[in-house]
Amino acid sequence: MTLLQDFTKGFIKENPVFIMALGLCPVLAVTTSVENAIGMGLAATFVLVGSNFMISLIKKLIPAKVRIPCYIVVIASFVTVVDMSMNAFLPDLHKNLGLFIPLIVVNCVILGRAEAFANRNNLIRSILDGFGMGLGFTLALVVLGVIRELLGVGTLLGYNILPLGFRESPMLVAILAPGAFITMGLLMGLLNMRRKTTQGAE
Amino acid sequence: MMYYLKLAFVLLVIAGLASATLAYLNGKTQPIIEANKKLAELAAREKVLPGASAFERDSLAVEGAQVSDSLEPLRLQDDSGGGMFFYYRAYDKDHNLVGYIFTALGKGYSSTIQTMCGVVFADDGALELNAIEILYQGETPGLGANAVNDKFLGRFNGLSQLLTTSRLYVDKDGGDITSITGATITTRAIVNSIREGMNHLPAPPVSEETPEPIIESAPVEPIAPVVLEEEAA
Amino acid sequence: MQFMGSVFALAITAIFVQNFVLSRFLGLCPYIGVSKKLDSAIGMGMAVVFVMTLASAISWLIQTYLLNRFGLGYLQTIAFILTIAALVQFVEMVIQKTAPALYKSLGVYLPLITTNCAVLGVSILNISEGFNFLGAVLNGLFAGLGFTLVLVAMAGIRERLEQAEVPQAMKGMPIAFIVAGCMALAFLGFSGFKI
Repeated sequence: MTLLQDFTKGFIKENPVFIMALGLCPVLAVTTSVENAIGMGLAATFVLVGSNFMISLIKKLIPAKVRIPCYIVVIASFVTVVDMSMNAFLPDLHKNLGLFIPLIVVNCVILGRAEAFANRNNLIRSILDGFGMGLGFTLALVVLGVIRELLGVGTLLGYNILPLGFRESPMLVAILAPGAFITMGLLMGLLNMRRKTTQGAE
Repeated sequence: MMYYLKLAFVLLVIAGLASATLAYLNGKTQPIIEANKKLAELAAREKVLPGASAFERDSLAVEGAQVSDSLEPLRLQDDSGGGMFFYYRAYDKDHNLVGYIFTALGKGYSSTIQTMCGVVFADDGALELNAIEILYQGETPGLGANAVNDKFLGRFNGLSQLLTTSRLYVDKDGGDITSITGATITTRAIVNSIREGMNHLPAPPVSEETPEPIIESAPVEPIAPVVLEEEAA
Repeated sequence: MQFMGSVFALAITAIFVQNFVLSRFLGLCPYIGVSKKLDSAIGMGMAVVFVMTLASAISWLIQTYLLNRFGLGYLQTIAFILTIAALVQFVEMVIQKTAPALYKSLGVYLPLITTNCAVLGVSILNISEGFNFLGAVLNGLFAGLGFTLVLVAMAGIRERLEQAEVPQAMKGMPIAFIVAGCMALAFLGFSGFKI
C-alpha cells in the first residue's frame, strides 16, 4: 500500500463512520449545524493525528500488557489539550460542543486506529493514516451537518439558503434526535446501494 | 515480579509526563479563559444596562431563590448561597443609581439557562426591564438555542414590572411573550426565571439624593436587611 | 416522602425524558452493535447498569475529594477514563472469581464498556449538573436502566426485522438506524415532561 493510499483510504473506502460505524455518538449529536460539525471533525482529527504520532513513536517502549491504558492516557491528554485550547480561543464553539469534547476520549475511531494501525506502522504512515481517517470522519460529520441544517433550519453555516417561507416553518425534525438517526440510516443505505451497483458492474 | 514492576513503572511515567504537560498548558490557558469570561460578563452588562459604570453587589435572603450571583454565573451549587438572591446596584459615572442587574436561572429543556437582566426605573417609579442577555444555555441547536438571537431577546425590552408580575408569561400560559418556535419549554424557563427575579428586587429608592460615591473594588459594606414588598400572589 | 418524590422525578428524567441513547446520543456504538440478539442485549444492559452505577459513585468521589481539593480540575478527563478502565478490569476479575455463571453471560461485554461513552458521559454530567453523592449514584443507575430499556427494545425489534422484507441496500445497519429514529420520535413525546 502506498503512502497516498494510507492517506486517502479513510475518505470513502474505509470511512470510519459510514463503512465502519465507529464513533457514532458525536456524529449524531453535534451535527445540528455545519459549524459544529466542522469544529468537532477538526478537533477529532487533531487528536487522531496526535495520538497516532505519539503511539507510533513510543510503541516499542510500551509492554503489550499495559498498552491499552497507555493509549488511553495519551489520547486523554490530547483531548484535554483540545478542550483547554478551544475553551481559551474558541469559547463559543466550546460551549456548543460541550460534553462531546471530553467524550472524544472514548471515540472508538481513535482507540481503534491506535490499536489497529499506529501500533504496527512507522511514524509517517501513522500520521498519514490519522490525518486521512480524521478527514474522513470530518467529511461524514459535514455531510450530515449540511443535510440537517439545510432541512431543519434552512441555512448553511448560518447563511440563509432556502426561501423565507421554508425558514419560518422548517422541517424541525431534522435537527431533533430522530432526524439524526433517520438521516444516518438513509445515507448508509445510499452508500450500500452505490457499492452494490459498482460491484455488480465489475 | 520484575515484569509487573516494569509495567507499573511504564504506566506511571506516561501518566506523569501527561499530567506535567497538561499542568503546564493549563497554566497557559486558564488566564485566557478567565479573561474571556470576564469580558463576556462585562459586555453583557453593557448590553443590558448601557451607561452604568460601577456596580455594587447586594443580596437578599429569599426562600428557595433560583437566582445566582452574576459574577460567578457558572457556580450553581449551594455554596453560592442557597436561598440567597444576588443582584447588583448599577451606578453611572456621576454615582447616580440607574438600575439593577441580576442573573436569572431557569431550568430549560436540556440545561439551566442563565439570563442577565438589566432593570431600570420608569418615570412613575416602577421597575422596568431594560434588556436581557443569555449568558449560558445548552438548549437544542436550531430550537431552544435560538433564544440567543436578538429577535427573541428584543421582546423583553422595556417591560414594566406591572406587566411583569401579571403578564410576563409565555403566550401559552396566557402571557404576552411569544414563545420561540418549537421551544416553549426554553421560553417558559427564561420568562419564569426573569419574573421571579423581578419580584425579588427591592423597590427603587424614592429620594432623589445622590448616593455616596462608590468605588467598584471597595469591599461592600454590610447592608441593612431590605424589607421585601409583599409579593403578588 | 419528598425524598421519594425527587427520586421518582430523577428516574423519569434519566430513563425517559433525557434518555441517554435517544435524546443525549450517548452509548450509540453498543446500541447499534450489540442489539442483534435479545439475550446479548440483556447481558450488555445488565453489565452497563452495574458499571455505570459504580463509575458514577467512584468518579464523584474522585472529583470531590481529589481533583477539587487539589485544584486539578483539568485532569478530569484522564482521571475518569482511567478510573473507568480500572473499574471495568476489576469488576471483570471479581465476577470471574466469585460468580463464574454470571461471568459467562456478562464476561464478553465487560471489556467493551470501557469505550462506551455513556459511562464516561454520566460521570462528567454528574459533576457538571452539580449532583450530590446520592444523586450521582442514582442518576448513574437510572441512566443505565434507560440505556438497557432502549437496547432491549431495539433487540426485540431487530430480531423480528430479520424476517421482514427490507430493501437489499437497507438491510442491517441502515434499517437499524431508521428504527432508532422511530424510537427517538416516540421518546420525543416525553420531552417537556415536568415533574
